[in-house]
Amino acid sequence: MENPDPILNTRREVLRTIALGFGQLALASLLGEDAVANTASDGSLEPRNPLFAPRAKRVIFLFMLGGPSHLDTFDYKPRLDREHGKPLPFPKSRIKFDGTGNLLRSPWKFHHYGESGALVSDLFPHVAQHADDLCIIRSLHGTNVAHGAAILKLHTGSDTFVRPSMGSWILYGLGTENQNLPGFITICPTLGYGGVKNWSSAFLPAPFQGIPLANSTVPPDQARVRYLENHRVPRSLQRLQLDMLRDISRAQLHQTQLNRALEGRIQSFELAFRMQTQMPEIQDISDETAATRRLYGLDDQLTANFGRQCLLARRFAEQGVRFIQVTHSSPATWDQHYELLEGHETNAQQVDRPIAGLLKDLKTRGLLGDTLVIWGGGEFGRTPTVQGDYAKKPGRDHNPTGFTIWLAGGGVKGGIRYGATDDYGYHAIEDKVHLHDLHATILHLLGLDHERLMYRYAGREFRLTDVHGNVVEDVLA
Amino acid sequence: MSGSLLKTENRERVTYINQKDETGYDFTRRSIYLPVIRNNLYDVFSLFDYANASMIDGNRSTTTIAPQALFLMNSDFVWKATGQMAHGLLADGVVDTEPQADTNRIQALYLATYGRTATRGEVARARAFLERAEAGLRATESEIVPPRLGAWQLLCQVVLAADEFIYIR
Repeated sequence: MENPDPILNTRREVLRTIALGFGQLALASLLGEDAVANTASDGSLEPRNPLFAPRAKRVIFLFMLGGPSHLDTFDYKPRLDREHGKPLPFPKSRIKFDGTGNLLRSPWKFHHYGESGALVSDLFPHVAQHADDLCIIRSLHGTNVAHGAAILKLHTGSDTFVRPSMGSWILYGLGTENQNLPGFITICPTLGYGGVKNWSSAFLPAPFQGIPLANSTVPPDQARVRYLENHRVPRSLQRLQLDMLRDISRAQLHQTQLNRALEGRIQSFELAFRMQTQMPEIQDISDETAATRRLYGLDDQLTANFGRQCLLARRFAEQGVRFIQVTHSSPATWDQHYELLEGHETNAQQVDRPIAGLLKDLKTRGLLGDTLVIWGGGEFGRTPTVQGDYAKKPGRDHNPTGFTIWLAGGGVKGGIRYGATDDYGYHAIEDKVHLHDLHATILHLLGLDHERLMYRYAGREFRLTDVHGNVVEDVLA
Repeated sequence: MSGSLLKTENRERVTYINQKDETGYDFTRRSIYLPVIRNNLYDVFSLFDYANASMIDGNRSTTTIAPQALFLMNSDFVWKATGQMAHGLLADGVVDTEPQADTNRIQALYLATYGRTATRGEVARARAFLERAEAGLRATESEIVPPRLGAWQLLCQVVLAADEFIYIR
């Protein structure tokens, strides 16, 4: 009734295994794998030294889903005020998401802030207090006018294929500082627009996947990793179980061929086991003082949700998590084709205080110096031209050819504006920064070279920036 | 096995943030028959890569992440299932460690879960695990009693969590 021990089953299997092993060895040496020796093809999360001295050790990426309008936040265009209602004096992009009419002025006033005198609209009065810490890039541009593809592009560098997320690439390059926590956490991400592909490791080893804390359909006060406690099975016995699991999985691997996904599963159990020790206390924010809670806007129903997300981000950053994404997409996204005034007003009110609180808190705790905060803006900006009727709560369409993001902390110059759009804010024209350039710059700040951070898959080398990308040297501190 | 799987009145299942979802999932049917509440997806579904139910999705993604491992290690769902498995395996009432009885049970467990018999090495590994788990349960004065039954339950949990049960070759 018993199987013979299938250590070496058949002559054919032996030959296949050996051939594959020899082949891979030879190939690896031929290709001069030292170019990627700094990384971990085996999926190890152990911290690794970057290629050169990093300016930032970790990233907090604040993603405003839907496409906040640069023209109503950080990119002031006086000509829109003067020429409100008039036609755009040059042709619109040939590829549009939808039709638009004449120019639409911003309903918000802009004021100068800080010594740097950055112009910020009344949508972000709290963030504006940190103007001298912000590196505002106003010449970002991407390629895609639709949410799904544009979001994938921002997160993975590709709007057409399944590629590893930026956070996964960073884990591949750097590992993570705290082995008891995931290295890449995404708080309340959206399941739409590619969903999991935006935090997946694609062909990179499975341990580099992002771990979602709930998703956008779950209220942030319930966003937590669950099943962290086991009151029945003592830890020593759980250890015994995991050792047994490893044993039988290894034996099964042996029988089936080496499979990355299965190797990744073994590691996911080990991380899960370690997470039980530290994750519960980090998720529980009850030890924060009233002042800190207020700082993040937890005292106000309007800001409490996003505030909690930002506070969690700081707690993870403090504990050495490498890449933390915070998504604002709920209850509404920033996609104001109509009702720009109402929609952006509410969205900005929900995030302004929490983001300002996060910046202040990071600074107070001495974390801002080596934490790169990216206000990702959205996947694109919006058109200077109107959608809908001027008299009936108009809005703006998607615009990937010129939009704004800002960086803070982590080795970037504070208090500067970099690049510019045209007089109407339609296209980036001066010191243009493509999304690939942004990715190259983020990797550079972490001490990684986007041209050398490669992974061999399906017969060729892959990069986050594909064959593109230039580090934007002028924003480096 | 016929009839509705919805335990709520019509429209009561429509929820929004901060509302309570009364939908129940306690059925012995395959997951394809379970209710799908678009804006409040069943926890187990969202852990294991259920597609966004509001959109068309031609290709289900697959992730391998620690929260899934935590579910298999710590959830009531898995604990209940493995408890029933262990009870079933020990249903012959032979609770001593008579070698052949245990070997037969291990074979029964492998047949039921993996659809094959266990190898000699696997039987030996499982037996060694049972010994150590039982001793561990006694030593820690665990609430899992009797210890022999508990050891079987811990073994069932490992077998269910292993790749061979989760993945189809």
